[in-house]
Amino acid sequence: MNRAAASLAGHYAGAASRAAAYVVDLAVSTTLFSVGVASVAYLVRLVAGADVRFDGSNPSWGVVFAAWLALYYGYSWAATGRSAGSALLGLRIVARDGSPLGKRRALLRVCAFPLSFLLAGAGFLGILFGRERRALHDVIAGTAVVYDWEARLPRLWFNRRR
Amino acid sequence: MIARPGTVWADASRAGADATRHGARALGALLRMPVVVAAEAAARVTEAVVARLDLDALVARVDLDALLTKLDVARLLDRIDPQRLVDRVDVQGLIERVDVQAVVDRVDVQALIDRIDVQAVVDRVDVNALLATVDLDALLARTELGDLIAQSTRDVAGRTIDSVRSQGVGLDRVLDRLAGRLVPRTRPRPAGPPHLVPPDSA
Repeated sequence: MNRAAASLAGHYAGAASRAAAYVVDLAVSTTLFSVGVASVAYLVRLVAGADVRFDGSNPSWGVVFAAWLALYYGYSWAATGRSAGSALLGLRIVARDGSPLGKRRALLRVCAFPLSFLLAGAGFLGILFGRERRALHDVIAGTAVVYDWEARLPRLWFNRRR
Repeated sequence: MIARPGTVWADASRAGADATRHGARALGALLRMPVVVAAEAAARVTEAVVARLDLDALVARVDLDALLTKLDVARLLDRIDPQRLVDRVDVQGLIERVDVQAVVDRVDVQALIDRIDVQAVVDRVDVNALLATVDLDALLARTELGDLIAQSTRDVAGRTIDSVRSQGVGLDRVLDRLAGRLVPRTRPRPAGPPHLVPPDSA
């Protein structure tokens, strides 16, 4: 069979696609958070006359931002099994056996997600070296990330060699 | 009753005048008679001559070229009123007598087209005036251009996303190979979860 023509739908997703999806998600979530904060600040100033300013050095804003990220990822994963970045890159989060991701697993994955960033991101090494290409939060939540489109291996120069 | 001398003289004068007038008429008729007879004779002679005349032979003997050479055509044309001439032509009747199909069959359309300077024709067309007569709204409504643009936009966006995803898949494979060289794998890895990619099909 032609390797380039074979569909990769349902196969485990690799590190580059997942990293790109994460970057997109970070951009989308940060933009939405900024718009939300600006809208709330405008309404508070309009109604109460108080001045609300976003201060990155204030730990309380970090908690608010972390809560927002948890809401963003948790709702996206629980509702559709994919966030905005995952949808753009054609990825889907499923249970380890390939069945749909339930709400419980989605919530567990959200809670475990920060753990993968500990120790300089060592939790993500499982995507490169693990047998099922799962990160630490995937192992904890019992999930996996797969290609969710008719993925084809492109004819790139670095893919000509096996 | 005895007539008066004046009355007699008047009657005599009137009688004399009448006699003179009648005499003059008789004399006139007498003088015209030879002229009438001569005119009738001339007419009969003319008819006889014309009847015996061979006009075709006569025309054949005429040197038309010499005649036309002597003819001042320009002066003749100056005396012609073209408008009156055209007004007297029954154009509709003329057209009805023309076999258009036969005329068209004899026309070398390709040669005719080759002789046309299309650029010159286009240059003479007032495109703005032409476009001003076009109902663009109706045209757009009939062509459903909005749907075409939307479909085209969706296709372009879909191809762009597929391209980005494909590049990601390619990089995934590269990183996978590099990781395999750094940490050699002792056994083959499954391609995907068992519900999505059965192990025997990987």
